[in-house]
Amino acid sequence: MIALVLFVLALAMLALGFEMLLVMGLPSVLIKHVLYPDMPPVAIPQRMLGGVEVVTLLAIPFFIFAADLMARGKMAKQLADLFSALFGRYRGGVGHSTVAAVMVFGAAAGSAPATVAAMGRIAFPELVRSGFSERFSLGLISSSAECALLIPPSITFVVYSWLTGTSIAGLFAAGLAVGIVLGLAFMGLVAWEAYRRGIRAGDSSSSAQRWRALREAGWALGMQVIILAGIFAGYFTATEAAAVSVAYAILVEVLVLRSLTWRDVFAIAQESAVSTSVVFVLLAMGSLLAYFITLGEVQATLLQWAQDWHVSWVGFLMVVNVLFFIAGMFIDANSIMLIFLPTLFPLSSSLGIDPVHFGMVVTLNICIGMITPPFGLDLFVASSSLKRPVEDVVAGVWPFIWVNIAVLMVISYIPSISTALPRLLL
Amino acid sequence: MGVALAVLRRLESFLLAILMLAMSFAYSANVLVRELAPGIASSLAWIDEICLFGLVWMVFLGLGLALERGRQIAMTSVLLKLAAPLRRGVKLAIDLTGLAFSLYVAQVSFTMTLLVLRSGQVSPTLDITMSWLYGPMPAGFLLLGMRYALELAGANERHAVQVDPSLHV
Repeated sequence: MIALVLFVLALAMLALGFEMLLVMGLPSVLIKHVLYPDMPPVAIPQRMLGGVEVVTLLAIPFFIFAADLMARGKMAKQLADLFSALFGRYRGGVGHSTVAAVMVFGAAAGSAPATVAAMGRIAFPELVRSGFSERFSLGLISSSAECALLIPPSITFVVYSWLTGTSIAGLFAAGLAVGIVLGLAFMGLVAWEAYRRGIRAGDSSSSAQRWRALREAGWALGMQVIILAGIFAGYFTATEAAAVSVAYAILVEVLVLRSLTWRDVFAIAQESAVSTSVVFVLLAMGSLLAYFITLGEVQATLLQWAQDWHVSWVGFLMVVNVLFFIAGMFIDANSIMLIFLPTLFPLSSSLGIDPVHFGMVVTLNICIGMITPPFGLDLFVASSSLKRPVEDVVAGVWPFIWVNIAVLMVISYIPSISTALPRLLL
Repeated sequence: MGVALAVLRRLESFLLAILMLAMSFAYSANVLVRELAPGIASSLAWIDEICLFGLVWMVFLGLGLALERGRQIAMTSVLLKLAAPLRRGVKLAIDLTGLAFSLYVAQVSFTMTLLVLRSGQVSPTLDITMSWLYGPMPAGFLLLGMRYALELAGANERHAVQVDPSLHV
């Protein structure tokens, strides 16, 4: 009964616009005082610190900083130029190059909304100029940015790995496969739209131009190579790769490309630190909440239900898909995982679902939630950074949501797509 | 009052930037040393620890600035559509809750910091008191509580701040 009251309280706080840290933190504190009055209150700061002071999570501030440096410097633009030189000569080529550039940039950025904002400004005018409708272009940019969460390095996977004890390298390898599947599906949609609307090929580039674009983008691609090769070859841990990519981004943007001054770097460091604080205060509150969920034996109750009702992994994943899809419309990726994973992950393991596969299903759902009306965050970011009404973005995003759901079904029920690459690489 | 606040803001952002830069430098230098001169790398285990201390400081010191700049994550689409009087009422409730919660956490984490300080517990490699790890919590939540108080006093309006969309995480 008390649990139900607190749950309704949390939902009401969420809907009314309370800060997420209060939505997770206040009910936890109330649970402690109402249900566990004998527990010393110092348990609260202890649990909160436990969600921050984790070596694996050190990768997050570094990835945020590196991505901010790339977005403010020249590397994002160079990636866009490279892919337009590579794909421009095909029908609807600007669409394909947008998907590819957003995938590669988003991978380094690790955050879908940041990718929408950074790449959207570069790609949107080009898309419209080449003949795609404004709505389709808005939909394309917001949705392909989702790959940021899937293609490594991804902050979402770092958090998932910490919450579930799954190998980061395994998640990164699987995310690469799933991200590419999603990217190809979007390219299929672009090809269909280009065919339907009779969109011509973009500017065709000479091989000399393509070569030059590749050389210029070499610095930006180098970052990806360092991160992926370093992690998969076992040179670096994810945290080390993240720190090295910061050093790399500073050296390239300041000393080689001269696109940022030291003063800029200082200002970006300060913004990235605030972003880090925003993410980690949720991890702190989530760690506190998860502690009380565990004490409440919610997992054991659910496990019992699952056994009583003979839930199969197929049915379970269906429930997970619906739950995360709905949650993803309202809450950000990290909060969703912090709230649901402590309960659902043990259940998924007991049903024999591979933890890496489960991570892909969860992340893909969060991705879809981010572009689903009425609250998907990416819709608003696209609308505000490209100065177009939200209604237009929503209208453009629907075909992509259907493609996404189709991909989600494939990923959910063909586990080997998620598990093959990790087995091969690691 | 205004001057004191401006100084505080500069101090907060200066510390945050320095922490981020120092951690990035220390950690990447550590990798470089390990690759180039593995002999002395084992003595650099303290870098992990110092970076974790830095992370904890960064996280809690950033709380107040993040709120003031409208960066703390909240689902405000409903709030912003409410009629003005109702919206003011809800915002009052949010700010009061935020203030009370911040002060509560600041108080219990201050108790915890003192407890750790008296226990004499030290960190594994740096050999400094673990209260350095807890200390930023009361400080950070006081800074956050102060920002909620400023919102209550009408000195800042975080929902009106235009956040640069590329800063979303």
